[in-house]
Amino acid sequence: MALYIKQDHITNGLEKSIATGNWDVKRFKMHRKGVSQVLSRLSFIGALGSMTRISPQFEKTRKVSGPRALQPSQCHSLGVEDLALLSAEELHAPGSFLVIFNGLILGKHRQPQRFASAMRKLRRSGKIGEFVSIFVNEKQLSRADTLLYLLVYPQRPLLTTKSIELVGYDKLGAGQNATVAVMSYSGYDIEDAIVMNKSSLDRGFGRCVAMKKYTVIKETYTNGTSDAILRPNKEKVGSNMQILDDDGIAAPGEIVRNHDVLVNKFTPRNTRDRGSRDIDYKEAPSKYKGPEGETTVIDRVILSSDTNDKLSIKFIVRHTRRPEVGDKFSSRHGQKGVCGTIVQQEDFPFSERGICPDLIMNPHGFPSRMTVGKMIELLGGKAGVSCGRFHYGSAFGEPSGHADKVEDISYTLVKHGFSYSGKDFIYSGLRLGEMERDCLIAYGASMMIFERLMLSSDPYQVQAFLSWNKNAYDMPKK
Amino acid sequence: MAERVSYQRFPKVRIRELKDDYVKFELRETDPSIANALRRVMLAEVPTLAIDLVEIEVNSSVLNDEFIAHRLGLIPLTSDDAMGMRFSRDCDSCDGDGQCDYCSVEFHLNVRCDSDQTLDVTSADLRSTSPTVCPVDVAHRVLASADPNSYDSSDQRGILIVKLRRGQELRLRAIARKGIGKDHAKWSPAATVTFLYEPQIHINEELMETLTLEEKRAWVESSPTRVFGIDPNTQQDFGEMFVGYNLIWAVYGCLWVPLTILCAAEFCFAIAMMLNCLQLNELALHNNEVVVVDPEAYTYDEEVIKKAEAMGKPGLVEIYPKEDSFIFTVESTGAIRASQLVSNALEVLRQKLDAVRLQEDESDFGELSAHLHGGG
Ligand SMILES: [Zn+2]
Repeated sequence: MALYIKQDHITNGLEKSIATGNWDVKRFKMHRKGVSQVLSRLSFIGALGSMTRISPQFEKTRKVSGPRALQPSQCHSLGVEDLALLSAEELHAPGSFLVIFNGLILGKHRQPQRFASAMRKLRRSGKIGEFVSIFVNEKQLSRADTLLYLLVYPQRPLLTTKSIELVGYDKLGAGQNATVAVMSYSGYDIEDAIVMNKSSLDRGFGRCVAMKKYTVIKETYTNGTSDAILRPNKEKVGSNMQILDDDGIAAPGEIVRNHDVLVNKFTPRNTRDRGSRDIDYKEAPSKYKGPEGETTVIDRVILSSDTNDKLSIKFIVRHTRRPEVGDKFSSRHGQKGVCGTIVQQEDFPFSERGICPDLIMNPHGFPSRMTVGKMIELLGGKAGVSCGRFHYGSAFGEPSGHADKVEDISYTLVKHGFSYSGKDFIYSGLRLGEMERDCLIAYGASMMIFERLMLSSDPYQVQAFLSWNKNAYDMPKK
Repeated sequence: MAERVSYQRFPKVRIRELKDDYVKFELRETDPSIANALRRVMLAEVPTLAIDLVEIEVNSSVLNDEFIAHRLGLIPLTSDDAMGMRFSRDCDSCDGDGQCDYCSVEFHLNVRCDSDQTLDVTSADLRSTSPTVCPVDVAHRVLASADPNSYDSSDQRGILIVKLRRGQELRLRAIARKGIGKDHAKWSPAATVTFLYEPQIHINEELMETLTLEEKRAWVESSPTRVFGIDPNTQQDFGEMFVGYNLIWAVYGCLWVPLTILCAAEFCFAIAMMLNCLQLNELALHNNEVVVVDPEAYTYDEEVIKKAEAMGKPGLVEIYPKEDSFIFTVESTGAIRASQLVSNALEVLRQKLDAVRLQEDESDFGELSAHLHGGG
């Protein structure tokens, strides 16, 4: 029998499907993609969102309604997800720790450390397999993910909702509260682009850390030879080996630049035939490749073995990034936009109280999107800042009774000396943006340019010639 | 060419309130351009010291090296000497490694936690190699402890840099350099610099008299800030009582009165004025006149104008900004005193004008002035 039937046909098929996410049944002409997906772990909310993702139940080839319209087939599944989250609340009660085995929840425990040491004792006495590893609170930073984004100064949102509290988004923030001015400014804010305040960026607004994994494998070959990792000769000019330790591997905490050597690796020249004992090696250094001029730092180095028992060296490389022109930002209402320009704080508008926004959004993004929730958030956030209290930002009165209606928010604003509509009068030094100027130049409206750039831009008579003595302010009359 | 007309203006400054880290003053008889230039220079071009280079020896804390370096940079340092120091890039007596009195100050930090309690590493743990440069909160505490009358600030533990748990250690060398806010916000000595155009408010009294007391009250309340009030007794306009009040104007540009002397004098006047106001308020009431209580509380929100229109009384009040009077509010980070910030800004502005003078390109200016005077 075994001669005629492939033994592990089903196992192989399942393994292949789960690994690639492709579900192919040739007999029924069924080719579905994305049946299994890699869990995105870019952030906590990202991972949660990735786990609650659903796909529509019908073929994408057929004509469907617009991409933003609600699909009836999705409503039911969303409801189920909500229920799952609600029951999860009980599991995450304070002081209780989940016991997880291969991703399955086995139960709860109050004293995780004691539980873990008891389990370790059992392992030592041989009652549990020796390859079972036991951890308490495995953290994001002890994993070696291919890519991980961390916000440098995460904040708790001023405006929350019940579901935000349920998923713990207010405890593990993934965003920042920004002072936003909704106005047109400088011409670099067209098509949803935003204008950012350079001083805010200097102070850490929007700063993030990107951790990336690089793997180097010490290869073994069919003839029994293997790669060698040797002590570097740092004196050699142009070798880019400054960051290597004596063991030939880059050290944690070192600053890495493009073309720097991560591992001083050598490969045998002959990897096929079994030759003499003396193996002839050639240089094969593993180099870091990144943008020129950008510096990153080696965060951690992990030495482990892969599935083929080869030595694999994993480098977690850390890069702290500040927002640049072209980076994309989004509010919680899906109002996304790229950073159009970065402007000095002294060029930014300011209110008579001295408030200067962190970023400016173009008002044209609002009417067509109809993001009412965002309008409420703008009002509620301002009220929250002025009265020092977190507000609820849902559009509906919640049964808990502490939902804030727009009227209540407006009342708080007026009580703190703001307009009920949230509008503020701000002073701005800038009157004609560079792009507007370009348009005028292209059109040839020279008098207009002169009037805008010379007369309406805070005209000032510079009496700055003749001899600069006491009469410097005097001006000759023609 | 013989006849000369002078366009010279003498801007006047009156200081209303002066604290170490706060100053409020009026700037009158000048253009928005001057007010704005002063604001911009205070924000971005008055030099201070800030940590700019960090060499980390040991860091086993939870925060990474760049994170800590960024936090160190944002700690305000006492920068009274900054005006006299050199920019590191212009310094010719060193190679920028920090061992130079002209352009840099070295700091050391060496903290290790050996207890079971979390240890806060704060700005107070930074050891400076210069007697005059240290974190501002540390300097404040030294001053406060020397003065027996000051309040006890022992509960303040400095600006938090990082928290350490048992076995963690932070050891580093940091170099503070002179810089300006234009290059990085950490060098900006100003926490807030703002000005407002002084509002001029005219109430149409005839129209106002047509309102009932209730309507007046509703109208007064429509302003989110308390600009107007109902004065129950006197018809006297608030503005009039200041007419007899002789103001002392500091004249910048030609008269360089030492700022400090002026401040003391002004402070006395401010107190006298406040007492005046209080007395007036105590006088009693029965005419229910709508008066301007605090014109500067007006934020140009136009709420009262909209309210008047909604009540069917357009033109009840006219408010427009005075184009030549500005009220400045300046708050310092503590790096330099607020008064110092203003005078340093004027000094920087003067240096910039000197640079323009040195260019001596007469033809360009001649052309511009011809344009400004309508080709005259
Ligand atoms: Zn020097």
